[in-house]
Amino acid sequence: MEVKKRGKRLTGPLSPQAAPAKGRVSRLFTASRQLPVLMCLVLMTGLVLTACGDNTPTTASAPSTTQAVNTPIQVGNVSSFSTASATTAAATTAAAGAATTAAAGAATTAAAGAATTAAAGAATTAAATGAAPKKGGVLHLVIGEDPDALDPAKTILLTSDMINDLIFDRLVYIGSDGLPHPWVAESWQIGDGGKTLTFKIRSGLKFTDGTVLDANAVKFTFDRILDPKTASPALAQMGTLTSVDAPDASTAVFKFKEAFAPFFTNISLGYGGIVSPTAIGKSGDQFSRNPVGSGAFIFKSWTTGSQIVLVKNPDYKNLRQDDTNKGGPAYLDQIDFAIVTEPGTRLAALQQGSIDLYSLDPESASLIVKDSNFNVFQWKSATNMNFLEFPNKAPWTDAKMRQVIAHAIDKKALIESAWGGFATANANPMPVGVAGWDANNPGYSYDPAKAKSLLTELGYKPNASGMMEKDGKPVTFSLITYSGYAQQKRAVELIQANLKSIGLDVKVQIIEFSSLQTMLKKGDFDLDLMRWTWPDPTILSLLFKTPGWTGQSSDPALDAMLTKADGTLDPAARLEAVKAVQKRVYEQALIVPIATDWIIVGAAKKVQGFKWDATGYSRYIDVWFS
Amino acid sequence: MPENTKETTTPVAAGSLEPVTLEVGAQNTALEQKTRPFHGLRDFTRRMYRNGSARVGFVLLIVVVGAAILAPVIAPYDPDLTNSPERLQPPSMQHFFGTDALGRDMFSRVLFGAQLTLQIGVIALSIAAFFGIAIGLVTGYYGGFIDGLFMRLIDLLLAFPGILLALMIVSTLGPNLTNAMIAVGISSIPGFARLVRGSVLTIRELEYVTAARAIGVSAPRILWKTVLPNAMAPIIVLATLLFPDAVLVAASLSFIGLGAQPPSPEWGALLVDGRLYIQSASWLITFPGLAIFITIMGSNLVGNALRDVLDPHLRGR
Amino acid sequence: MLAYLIRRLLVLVPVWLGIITLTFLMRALVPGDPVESMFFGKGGDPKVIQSIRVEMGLDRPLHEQYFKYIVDVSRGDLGKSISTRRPVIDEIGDRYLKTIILAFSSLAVAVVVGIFLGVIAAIFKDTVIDTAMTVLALIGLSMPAFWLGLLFINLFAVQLRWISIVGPPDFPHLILPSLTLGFIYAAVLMRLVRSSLLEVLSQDYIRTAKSKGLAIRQVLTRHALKNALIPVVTILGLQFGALLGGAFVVENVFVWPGVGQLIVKAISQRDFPVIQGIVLLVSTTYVLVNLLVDVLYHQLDPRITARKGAS
Repeated sequence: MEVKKRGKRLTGPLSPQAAPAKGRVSRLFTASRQLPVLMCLVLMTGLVLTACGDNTPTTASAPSTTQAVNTPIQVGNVSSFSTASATTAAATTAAAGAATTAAAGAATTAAAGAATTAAAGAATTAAATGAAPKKGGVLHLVIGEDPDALDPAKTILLTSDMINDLIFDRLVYIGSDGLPHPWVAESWQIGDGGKTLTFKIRSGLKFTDGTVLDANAVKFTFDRILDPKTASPALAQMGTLTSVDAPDASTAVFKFKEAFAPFFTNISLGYGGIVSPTAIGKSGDQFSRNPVGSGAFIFKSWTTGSQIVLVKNPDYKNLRQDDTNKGGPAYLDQIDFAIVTEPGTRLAALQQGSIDLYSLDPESASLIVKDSNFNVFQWKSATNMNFLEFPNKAPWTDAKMRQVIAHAIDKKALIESAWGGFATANANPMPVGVAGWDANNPGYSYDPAKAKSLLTELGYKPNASGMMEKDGKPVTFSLITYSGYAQQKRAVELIQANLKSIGLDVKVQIIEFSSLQTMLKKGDFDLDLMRWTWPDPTILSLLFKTPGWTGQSSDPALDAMLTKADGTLDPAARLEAVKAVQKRVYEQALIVPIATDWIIVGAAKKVQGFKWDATGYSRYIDVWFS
Repeated sequence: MPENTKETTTPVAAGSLEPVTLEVGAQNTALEQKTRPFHGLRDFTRRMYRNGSARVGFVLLIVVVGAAILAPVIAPYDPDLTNSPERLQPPSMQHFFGTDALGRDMFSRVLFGAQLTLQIGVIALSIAAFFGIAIGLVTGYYGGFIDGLFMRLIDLLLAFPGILLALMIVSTLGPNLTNAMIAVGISSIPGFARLVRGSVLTIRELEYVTAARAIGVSAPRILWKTVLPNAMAPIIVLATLLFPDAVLVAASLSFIGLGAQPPSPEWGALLVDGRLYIQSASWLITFPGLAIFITIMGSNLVGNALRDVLDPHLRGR
Repeated sequence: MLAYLIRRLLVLVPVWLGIITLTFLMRALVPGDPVESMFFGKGGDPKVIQSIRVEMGLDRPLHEQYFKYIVDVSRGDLGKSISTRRPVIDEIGDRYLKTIILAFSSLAVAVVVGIFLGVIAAIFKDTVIDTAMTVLALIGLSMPAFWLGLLFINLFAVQLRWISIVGPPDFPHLILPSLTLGFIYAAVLMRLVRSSLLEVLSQDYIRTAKSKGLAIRQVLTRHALKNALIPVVTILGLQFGALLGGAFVVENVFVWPGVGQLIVKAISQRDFPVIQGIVLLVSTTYVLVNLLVDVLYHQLDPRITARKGAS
């Protein structure tokens, strides 16, 4: 009794229980230990209700698609681009071809939209609004990871390439006609049946460290890539290049073992960026963290994992004719790249206004398209391609088996579900936006019945539960793809369902790229969903020339055709050769092309003049703020 | 306090969200009273029932277990059945939890996900408990070189944050649910091992154990018949408290892309798929999130109640 | 005390050896080649791949690399990253500091919030306030960190626009991630403080103090709280490992350039020198923090003293 009393005295002053007014209320809850939990549940129920409530207007289909589709240039806040790096007719016919190929309503109109806008590709929004560009301002951009090296010779990572593009100018650029145009090189001559290329280098060019950019710097740049000590990943892009000479300050002579047609495109990309020999002499290994080039922007700082800052090169004279901002330096004072790994956070940053421009994934795109605070730019004839590939083993060595898969894939549903409608169905083993893309190929139709009958011809029989068996044994195939991308994940899940409906049991594995690569090399898979981005027809050689990029290709007939396509410098003749390759790959169904997904950029309203060039680089030199 | 308590009081489970406040000191008193406080199962159940939060916890867990067992019966759709025209439908009478980007019914997926989540928890903890108890018993009882060796190994495991260890194991074995379970299991071994070792160290010196040893009862028999039963209560409590941890680590692995493989409706994986739709279709992230939430809350509540009931030293809070 | 410290520090040596062995085992078992994965299969020239291997010493047998690595580490050299070809210490150093900052600021949030709420809950035991605190703690305990992080971003950054989420790793950008992580651990601490304080408050000496007529605040701060914090401190050390692990996940949600982002990338690229470097650093920190906690523990509780030969 006494103890109890004491205890009470102790807690007394501490506890509001002692206060009579509060007593009743607290007694209500005292000793009820369920209460916290009940409150938790109530709270959570609230959460659920809000979840369901405020989202009701959001309907299932992606309305943005239609919005974008029916607009020739710009409707609402959506601008569609189709700057395909195709020879004149290629871009338009390419898109029209997609229209005939795609069974899909959305995809069809999408492609048609692209076709009509093709001509508008080069036109910027600034031109459309007709306002004079203003100078100044900081453009806030976002990248998903740290670049590995801001050194053209030391990287093939797209993130690095995109930044290197702004720091380093190249000898040539690829115009919307799909042909090389003068940049640092004033002109060039092809000699010796394509085995010698002589570039005339412009005079008076300077690197941003003040040193002179001449033929010697060009020679230095390419010698560095060719030097095995550099261990340059760009070496493979140099093809048959053997040596570079600089007989005088304005002449650079490139010597090849054999003619190499992709060379112009390859050196127009980030790999061909001309580096300052003085800066490399000075910083050595640290050059990749302190890059110096002659581009429109100067590298200022790189805070690992956080941001990269480039400032305007005030002395820059833009030599490219495909830009609206000709002859001058950039309008922007500065570009900040924030490094944000999580896509949800990137989207939030765009909505919040912390970043001005962001390449959207399909999930975010449907949201931003509906948001009047933003402009949306779509590049429909992009240079990427999603496709299924096979190992070099039974049963996939049989073209008929590969055709089964080609007929079983519902591209329309895939585009809707995996890419939210933001993709163009593709029948060819090449990205829609690449020159030579065969517009007249109808592609394999989505035809499960046909796929099933082909399976029967191959000796497969359905068992009691409708799943296919061969020689009395049930078959299971493995479908693999790389991790980290929601679109890819949705796509394989749908492909799995597609194949199940024709009776094929498929196990899906989504693996990190490094492990995937090992499996691909070993042929330790049945189907692989892959995505490649490459702006030149040489993508065909990269993929299929024996032994193929994964070591799963072996087709001597095709090899000869590829050698011809890569060795032909005349554009028209080359495209013919490329088309022949496509036909062969298509007939053999060496891969099952699925779609080219659109590059979609969401930008704050104030961002003007945004556009892509033919190889997919964003031309920030043209961008200004209203 | 005996010196070895310094190490053994340092409780358990790096990476555990819930601090495990089982101390050998407390354990000691618990043991002395052990002959007393329990009047068998009935007393135990009565006490558990009297504990309000345990009741709620049990209800929550029963909901989850029920969902797991009955999933094939009550799920209105095949969880993997895609239906593109009905993609991203908000919750409705046809689809209680809405549909995902491929038109799959989220309600069915969450139900089937319960099976996987329980599997993860149970299998991971079984692995951890089996090896942890074995190591703890042997090292605690024999001491000496074996003890030193194993404790250094445990130190080594403890030097990793749980998720880091799991990350390394999964990337070595390959990313799938089974390996995620193994990884989570291995990273929880130290908790059990230290707990059991601590208990054994104190029990070993008790009179009846020394007596048993003196009359020549074999070591395994002593461990099995005498030592283990006495250490059982804290083991059970630890297991209940580590369960949420296992579920969370598995979900985090899925977040990083090293967890369940599609089309598996593991909740962590559902959450990860849904996160890009947090604004446009928030039901995709809300319901799996809630499911995880309920499971963890349920096991936390039950775990705490168990600790209160089984550990008289802490009872009555 | 000094001997004790040295003995505890010596524990690090087998831990380091163990970690190096484990990570080399991982190197042998994990599929995927770090150099080849650099090239993404896009026409990586075999000569180039080979010369990078030679440059990195990857062409030598694994056991040779193993012993060389041990020698290098003992000299303080963690090797070079395979993907960026920069010294690992440069890659990790700055990021590691960021992770530690995040972990400590979350710890600070957790301690301040946890102790404050825990004390309040204990004072108002079995009332609405206590209940509300318990609710908070239950929510904190039951939420996956990345889910909470995404909800915070959506609420504070997108809906309310209070906080900018993208920017340099400075104080404003530390707020959301430390709140996310801190909230979860505050929940852990709050419950612990509550129960610990309740236990202390029921002890005889507190009653004595009370009966001597000391003001309740004095009793609380001078006697009760200090003793109640002893078990809390022990847990703090152990929770620090969990906190570091949590930081790994939270960093990926927020824009916070710590090692968590790096290790996920390094694992996917099979950049073993970086993985090894991070694991070594993290585990060393973890061991050191626990040592610190033990020292603190002894300071707080005079009953326990560090003696020679304690095992």
